[in-house]
Amino acid sequence: MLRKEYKQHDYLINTYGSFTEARNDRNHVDERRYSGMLKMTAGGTLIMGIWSLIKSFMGMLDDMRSDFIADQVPVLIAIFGSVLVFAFFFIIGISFRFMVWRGACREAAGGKKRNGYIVCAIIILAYDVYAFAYFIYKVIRREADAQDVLKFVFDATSFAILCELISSAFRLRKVRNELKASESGGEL
Amino acid sequence: MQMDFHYFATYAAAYLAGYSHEESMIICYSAQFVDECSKTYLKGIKGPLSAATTQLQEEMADIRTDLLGLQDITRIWASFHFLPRDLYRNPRRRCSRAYRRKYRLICGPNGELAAETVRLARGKGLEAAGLAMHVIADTWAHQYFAGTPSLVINNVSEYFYEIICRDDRTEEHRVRFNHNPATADDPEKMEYTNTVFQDNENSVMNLGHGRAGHFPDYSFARYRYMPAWADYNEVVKDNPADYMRAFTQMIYALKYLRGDIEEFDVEKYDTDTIVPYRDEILGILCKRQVDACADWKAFGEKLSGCRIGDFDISKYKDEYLAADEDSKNKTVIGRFILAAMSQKSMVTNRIYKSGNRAAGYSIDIGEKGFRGIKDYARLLQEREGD
Repeated sequence: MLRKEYKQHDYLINTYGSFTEARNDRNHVDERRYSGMLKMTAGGTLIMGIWSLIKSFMGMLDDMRSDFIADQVPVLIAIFGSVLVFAFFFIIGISFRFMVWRGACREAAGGKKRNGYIVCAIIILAYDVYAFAYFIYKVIRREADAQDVLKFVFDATSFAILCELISSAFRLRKVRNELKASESGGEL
Repeated sequence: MQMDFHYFATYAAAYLAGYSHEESMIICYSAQFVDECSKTYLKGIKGPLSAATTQLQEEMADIRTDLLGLQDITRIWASFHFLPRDLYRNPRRRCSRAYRRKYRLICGPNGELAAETVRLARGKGLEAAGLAMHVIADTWAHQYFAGTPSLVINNVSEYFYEIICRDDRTEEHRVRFNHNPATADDPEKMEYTNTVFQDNENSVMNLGHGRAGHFPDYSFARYRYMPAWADYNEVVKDNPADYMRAFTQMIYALKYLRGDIEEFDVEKYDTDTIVPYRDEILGILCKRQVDACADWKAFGEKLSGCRIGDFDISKYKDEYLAADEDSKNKTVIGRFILAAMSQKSMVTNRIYKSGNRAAGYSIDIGEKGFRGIKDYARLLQEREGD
């Protein structure tokens, strides 16, 4: 807080003390901590999206080389199907994550709080849970290979980042509400 | 701090402490020379490289950041520009030993090492006094940063606000740094430069206050920011107040070095001496300018009534080069070199004794005899001569 009685040089003439005070009470520190974490996890979510896109593209190329597609499916249908699959992954992998990144960064910077990005984050989280379940299913059936393990590691990382993001968003809102309440004398 | 404070303000402090014009000139020359005495310069005069008190940007660009390189960097920057405040302090949270060692190198004023620096300079001549004044002044300007490359200590986040006082009002402006070293800082346009973010813990970009740009060096600057070590706590830096403390502490220390005071203690400031000049000094400190040399020079000249020549790095070079081997230590640069090695030796020893190897090893000559860097034999011979 800036000292109200501040006048030029007065702070030096009397005490040689500092004219401003650092805002290091619990709420201010938590506000900085959670906004920092929100911004960091938002960046992580976007990077995961880019990786997810690369992964799905490589998976699509791998599928196109399969014997089934080469023998049974006409080329045009194969390409059309691949584009559909790719578009789906693009929406899930990038668009949703982009929305999460944008919304989280805005909220971290003190902008308007929106719930849309949290909903998107929960959808991606649900997809990650599905991916977990599918991986466990494959492990039980002894069908999991090295690629599946790598996918699992990726999904687990994405899951952890999203959990932290959602948790930081809610905690940040709570802290900001408390700060607002304390600044307005206890009433919101 | 820059030449304005290290040279011209140090002159004023020395004169106010009771030194003559000629003595004050040597003291302020030595104080500024700490920022110039690099290995490149010492090679040019065939001086001992261990006496280097700074590293040029050209040297930094080519420097190794392996263990020995880091120790060399730390010896120089922690001894002369970022004197650690407390070598035994622990962070609030549990941390690794490596982190704790770096945390303990954080610079700050009024530490035990600052007191030792001043006491060490007593009786060693005007050059040692000037060197000590540089170190003391920098403890105020460079506090909260460490003289070792470290991301986890020296990094600053985007949370960096300049506090500007205009017409009895205070404004806070978010600072957005650029990284172009060719661009000069412009306080009026709020354009400031800093070093590029490097996620390598030991990158030289993370040395000292590079990540905070030149803010700690500007006497007018007031700012709030979040140091990497502070665990989301913020620090408010009020440079005019800190620089005023530095100035008054320098007067007090110089009076001690002159012999007017018997004991030097930390947390003591000679505020009485500056009473007639307080407003003038505050005016210089608070003026928004990146270079206050002209103002400090005018103030110093008004004090002494003598002309203060601009800093000339080669002023005493010929004297040193012309002196024969036996009398080099009696020249201005020779005495400065001895003072520099003495200070570096003391700080390295204290860091080593605290269980910290960040500045390398230190050997107790009394127990094990002379070993290690041969440059220091010169210092030992001088001490034996005394």
